[in-house]
Amino acid sequence: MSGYLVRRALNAIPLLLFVSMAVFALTHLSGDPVEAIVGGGEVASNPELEARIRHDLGLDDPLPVQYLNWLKGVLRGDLGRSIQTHQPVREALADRLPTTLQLALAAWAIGILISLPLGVIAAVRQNTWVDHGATVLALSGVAVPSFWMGLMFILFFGVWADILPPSGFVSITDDPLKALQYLILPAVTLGVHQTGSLTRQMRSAMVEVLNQDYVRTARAKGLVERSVIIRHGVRNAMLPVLTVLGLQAGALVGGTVVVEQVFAIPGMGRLALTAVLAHDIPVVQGFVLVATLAVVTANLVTDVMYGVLDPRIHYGR
Amino acid sequence: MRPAAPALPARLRRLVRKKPVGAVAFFIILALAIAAIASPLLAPYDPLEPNYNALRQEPSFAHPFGTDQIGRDLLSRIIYGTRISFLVGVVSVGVAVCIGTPIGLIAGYFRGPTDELLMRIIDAISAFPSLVLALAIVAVLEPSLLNVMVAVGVTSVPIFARLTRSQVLSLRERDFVLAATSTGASDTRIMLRHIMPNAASPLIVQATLGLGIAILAEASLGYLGVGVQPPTPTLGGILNQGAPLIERAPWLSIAPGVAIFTLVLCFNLVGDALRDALDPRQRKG
Repeated sequence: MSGYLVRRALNAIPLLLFVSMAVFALTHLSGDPVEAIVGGGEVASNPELEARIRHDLGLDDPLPVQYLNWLKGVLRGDLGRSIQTHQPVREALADRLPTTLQLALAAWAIGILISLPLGVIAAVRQNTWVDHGATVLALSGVAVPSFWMGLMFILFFGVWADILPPSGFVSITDDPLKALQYLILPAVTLGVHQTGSLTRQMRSAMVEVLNQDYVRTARAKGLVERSVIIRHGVRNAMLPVLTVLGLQAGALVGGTVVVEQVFAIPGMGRLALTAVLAHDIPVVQGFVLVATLAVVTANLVTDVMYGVLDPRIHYGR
Repeated sequence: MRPAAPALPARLRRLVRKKPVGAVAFFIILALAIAAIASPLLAPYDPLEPNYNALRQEPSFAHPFGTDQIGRDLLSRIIYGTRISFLVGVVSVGVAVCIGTPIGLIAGYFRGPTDELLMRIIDAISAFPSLVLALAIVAVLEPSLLNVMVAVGVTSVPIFARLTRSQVLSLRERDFVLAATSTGASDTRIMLRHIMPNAASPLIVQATLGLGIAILAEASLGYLGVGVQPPTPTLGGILNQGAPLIERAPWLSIAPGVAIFTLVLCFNLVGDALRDALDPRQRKG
């Protein structure tokens, strides 16, 4: 297992190198970085200043050298400074990471809590109205734009019913009860969006498992149906579902950008959006790097979890 | 020799009978597409023309979906917005198919180092969360209709590349390909004349589903304010402008969202039905 882990982690290195090159390229694709810092007019009227900044930033080095210097900085945790606020990007992202993590984890948990039971029930009650209802719900979950669902939640629960705060954020470490109130609407918005593919995957995996011989044997032995479904069904059906769970990390990260904007949550996604609108490329680069690293890590963890859930998989043998 | 499959029209007729929901969804899409194409004829008002005598009006006979903060008719804006949604959907899926399919075809057909290299590039593109990648592309290229279509298209390239590759890997071992090879057909001819026509079905299904995904992505970028820029009416853009007024003018946020939801749901339902019609192996239990 540990051998496999090392191999899998090593495989991720070329991938991350390619990602880093693409992220580095953002600086140059978006125009002249010196112009972005001091403005085009200043560059034209003050060539000495331009040359000094270019030298200070290492922009007069050949491109491969620039990339290697940038990569060295990134590996040391130096992601540059925001053009807008001059705050170190690492600091700006670190300040907002806990907020985004709380939202993403809560949404992930809600997605699992809704879709796994729904998928199991749909499979057990196959081709009944429960099954059809679950399919419609799952398809709707995929089709509904998360920002619109968020706006409707704000309208119904925050404005008309006035039972939950329509926007804002309180950290769970500051006031857990209040934090929960603020977290419910955004987490459900983001979570429901994840349920579509998860419910359908759980349903089809369960349908397949429930038709297996070992399930028939378990029933023939006289096991209680609930035990057959949970012990023999769910555990074996979890394997393909896990892939979807891992793949959803990307959608979850993207979803936080939208949901943070809808509910005015001061997280990483909102920071990234402000940076995109202000053409603040170092912050965009930092966010893309962190988001992609999160996805690559989630995929690695998914691979490892395969072995934990399915003892038949023995890595590296 | 494979047994002859029933003709496509016959299969489609059977599909309409067996999958009425998919058929209804298809006709809704057709109606919306016609409305989008004929928007200058169908829209009751100019979508860009402000009317300072009808600011933020609730839905009424004159304005069935109400008016926005500068008096523009919301129904007209939604009809024109749907046009942009279709355009972005079709072009970005086209971009994804035109880039992804050749990559998957070459990787699957030649295998070996070519396959390794191309698929590692595809892996790297997939590592970026799609909305984050689209945001980064728009940040670099500036928000515009063309750039949004490119950004949304690029994020869908991996799925078409992987799907094509998996089809080609299995098809290239089939007897009809071996027969073509033995007659001295060139690689290009085998790929384009023998493999691609047989790999088309799942790609058509994915393209249909991809249209829904692309429309959703365009709407998300529009809502975030980095999509097609005003004054061009887009469904996401209308929501972006309506969201701050949700307490005082909720109609500005309800109708465009319903339009996006309907479009995406219909494309998903049609995609599901097509999957059953074109690829019976994928039929659900």
